[in-house]
Amino acid sequence: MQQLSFDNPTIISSAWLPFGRSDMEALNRFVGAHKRYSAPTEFGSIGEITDLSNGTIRMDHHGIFLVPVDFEFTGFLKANVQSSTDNSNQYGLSIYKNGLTGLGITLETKLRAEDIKVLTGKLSDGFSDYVFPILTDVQKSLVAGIYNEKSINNLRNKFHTYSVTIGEQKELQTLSSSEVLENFQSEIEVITDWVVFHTTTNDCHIFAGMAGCLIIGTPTKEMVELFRQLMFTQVCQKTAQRMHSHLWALRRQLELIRQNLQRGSYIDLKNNHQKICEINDVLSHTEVFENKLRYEIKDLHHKFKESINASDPLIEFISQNFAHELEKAENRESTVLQLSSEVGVINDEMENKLELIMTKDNMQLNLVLLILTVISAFSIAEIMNFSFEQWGLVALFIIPFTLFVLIYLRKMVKEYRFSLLKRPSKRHE
Amino acid sequence: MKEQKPDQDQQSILYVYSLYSSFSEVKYLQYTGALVIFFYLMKQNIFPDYREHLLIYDYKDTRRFLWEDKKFMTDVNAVRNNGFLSRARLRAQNYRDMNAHQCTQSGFDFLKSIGFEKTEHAQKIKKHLTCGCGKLYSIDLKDNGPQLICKHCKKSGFEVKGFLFNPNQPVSHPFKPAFI
Repeated sequence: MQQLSFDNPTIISSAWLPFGRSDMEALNRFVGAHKRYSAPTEFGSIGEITDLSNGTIRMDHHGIFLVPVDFEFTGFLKANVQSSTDNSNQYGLSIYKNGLTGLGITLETKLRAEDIKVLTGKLSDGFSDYVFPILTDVQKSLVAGIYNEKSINNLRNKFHTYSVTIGEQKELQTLSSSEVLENFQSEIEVITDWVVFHTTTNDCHIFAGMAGCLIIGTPTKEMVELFRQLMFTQVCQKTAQRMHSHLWALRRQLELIRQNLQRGSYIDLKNNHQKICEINDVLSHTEVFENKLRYEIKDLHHKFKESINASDPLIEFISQNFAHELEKAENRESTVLQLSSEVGVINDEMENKLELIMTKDNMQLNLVLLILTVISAFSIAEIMNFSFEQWGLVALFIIPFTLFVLIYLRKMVKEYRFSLLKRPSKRHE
Repeated sequence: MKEQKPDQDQQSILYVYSLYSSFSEVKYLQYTGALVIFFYLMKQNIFPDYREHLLIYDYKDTRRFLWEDKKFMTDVNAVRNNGFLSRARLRAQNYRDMNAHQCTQSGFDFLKSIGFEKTEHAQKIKKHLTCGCGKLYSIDLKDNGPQLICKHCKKSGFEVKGFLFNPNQPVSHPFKPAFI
């Protein structure tokens, strides 16, 4: 059997980004989609406005250029995106209000599986250059949040995407997807990674894998709509994997802080307090991201169930994906809730501990002051060469101070003995 | 189901794992590190049937396009199915999920039974992975690309070029925009 290659393949790298109708409308308005602009609009980076008071603006550097191709004001935008105005190397950017986002190209040549994989790598990397600049600050912080990063600029080489490749191979049309997989498993899995589902429907072979999906054939309009649903569930799955790791990492950080809580010094506690504040901030971003994702899965699942009646392995696979993603989203919701309450508890514990340290420090300071007062009173009396009666008065003045010194010393000894009892043994540590 | 006896590529894979893992020390060879070694060995013509395929995989705390030939992946599975490799997934403080393998006792026994270590092929593998001072190279996953270094003499070491794919190069074929 010959090597698997495709004529004029289309490759799309996709991901889920938090959009929704408001962000979609804002984006369409910014690029002038409704005005049918055919000239590019440039999206720069933060801080580009330096001379607005003079009636001019200047960008720190050039951004990316968008030319709207098709749109639905609050529903979607399809635009050509490029890094310069010369119309060369235009990528296709698709953004749907449900969060499905894709960066795609159609090659005008014949490509092998290895070459396709290389291009999926370039397109995945292209998200940092061609997609992130058009997001709002809120969207950027939400996306950065689930990668535990402060800025979306740090997501190059970290961002999770899912690729879709559509290619023609006329010689394979008479075979079933099982037969194609049997003959070309290694090459198909170069593109998709492990194949988890495959079927043949409407003259298309579909291979859905862990990293990408390969469609061999020319899909009809109805099939394209179905593939869009499939892509949505697949990018949700990728996002869910990311969320799972993210929540696990947060829990791990909380556990470490809790372990250090008992034996930490004042400075350690202050540092940990800072970390807790940061985790709390990340968690609040995660919660918003999670709510948006869950809403879109529910919404699309509902629409999918209403629009599709036929029984087909692909439809069943997509339905099952929707159900799984919803279940995962619900699990994550409880994890986020649990982590939020853990953060609250740790924060309270930390504040108590800090208060205790402050009280202890105050006690030590008071003790030092009292001792210094007693010494000063005796020294003054000695210098002033006091008479016996005057010494008596000084002694009367000193008695309450001395009593307080003794009380403080007793308290400190007690606390010291108590802390010795509470300290865990080294073996246990 | 009785597994097939490992072929030369699979025996070589097992041999490399036997060099880099230890049951008594609970030491495993992490998958990214293993891929670096096998990519390097492929470049030295130890695995002539392997090709330069790509995989999206964890490289420290990043997701990178790096080398993994699908035949290699199948070979590792074949060795595992024989019970010669055990797999571990470890969660450390900074890394969520590490995938690693260790040569099992039956793996060591199998290599011994076929006298693999004494073969010319094994000698070649060992030579490529051994520093001039006689110690095995360690893997150092640097941000810009992996290196094989000698921790013992700290004098020798080299970058394993081509392991990480650089996606920043422009697309060399003509293309037009495509949409979902």
